[in-house]
Amino acid sequence: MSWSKDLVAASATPIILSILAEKENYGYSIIKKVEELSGGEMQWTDGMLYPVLHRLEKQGLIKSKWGKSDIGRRRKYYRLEKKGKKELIEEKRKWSVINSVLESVCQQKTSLI
Amino acid sequence: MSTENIFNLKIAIHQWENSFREINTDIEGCIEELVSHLHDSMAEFRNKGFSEEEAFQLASSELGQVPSIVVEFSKNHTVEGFDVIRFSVFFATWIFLSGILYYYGFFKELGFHIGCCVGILVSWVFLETLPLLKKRGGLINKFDKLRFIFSAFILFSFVSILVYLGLYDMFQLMPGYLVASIFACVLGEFMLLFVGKQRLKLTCSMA
Repeated sequence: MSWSKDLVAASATPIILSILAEKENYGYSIIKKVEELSGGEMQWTDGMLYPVLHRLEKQGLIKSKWGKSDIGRRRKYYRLEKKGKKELIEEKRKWSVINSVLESVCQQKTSLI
Repeated sequence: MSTENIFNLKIAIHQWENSFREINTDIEGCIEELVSHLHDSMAEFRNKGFSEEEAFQLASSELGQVPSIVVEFSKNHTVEGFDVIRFSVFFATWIFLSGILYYYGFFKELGFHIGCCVGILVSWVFLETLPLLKKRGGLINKFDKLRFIFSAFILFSFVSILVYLGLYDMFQLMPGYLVASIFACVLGEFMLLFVGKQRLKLTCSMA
């Protein structure tokens, strides 16, 4: 399935914030988590994740720190900030509205058919 | 067998890193993170049985095209007009105050006006050099260096001209330096905002 660039961009923030709400995480793992949660339907271009992460950090929603991987390689971990938690609640509310609107519209269409 | 064809991972990664730098040095601080991702991705391909070279090719292609990544990063570096004014006023005030401090502390023997100018210049150099020393976070780049040189030049020239023309009398000495500093900072930062936007356009056109 191909995803429009706009849809991917719009959904990236709530998805990333939700994943980080579980625990602190790093870029590669976030990408894998998205693939896993979407059953392989959503496949982000790996390199596009990092500018988004940096933007979210600039906005104060997440915070990064350098750590080490199991084999001792440097790796950057991200965690959700207080402001990010608030943003996530707001994002979830907005997406829930969009979802209910879509469902209502689809139901109306089905009943007309 | 010729050794020229043997795949060298270190060289390949180094060349890959440089392909980012060639387009835009603003993302210097982000490259290490991308390389870390590349290693993670390569490890997975290696586990699937791919050779080192194949793993590198697949991992780098999964990361996406270098110009596109650079464009996305560059978007994060843009600043808005309001930020420019805010920073300019903050810097100008800081420079003005520390300029006076330097004057009274170190440059009094030079005379008031020259002392203030030298003080302001020293403060500016100090203020602009600090971020340049910060190695991580993408602060060492050509843009920052350009900003340092350009801003220092504008600021010092403007203050010098003001002193030379005797216009400082209009602002009654001290406030004159403050006004001059703010004016120079605002002008300098807006010029840099313009340069930054032009560079982003250029990077976008390359993607």
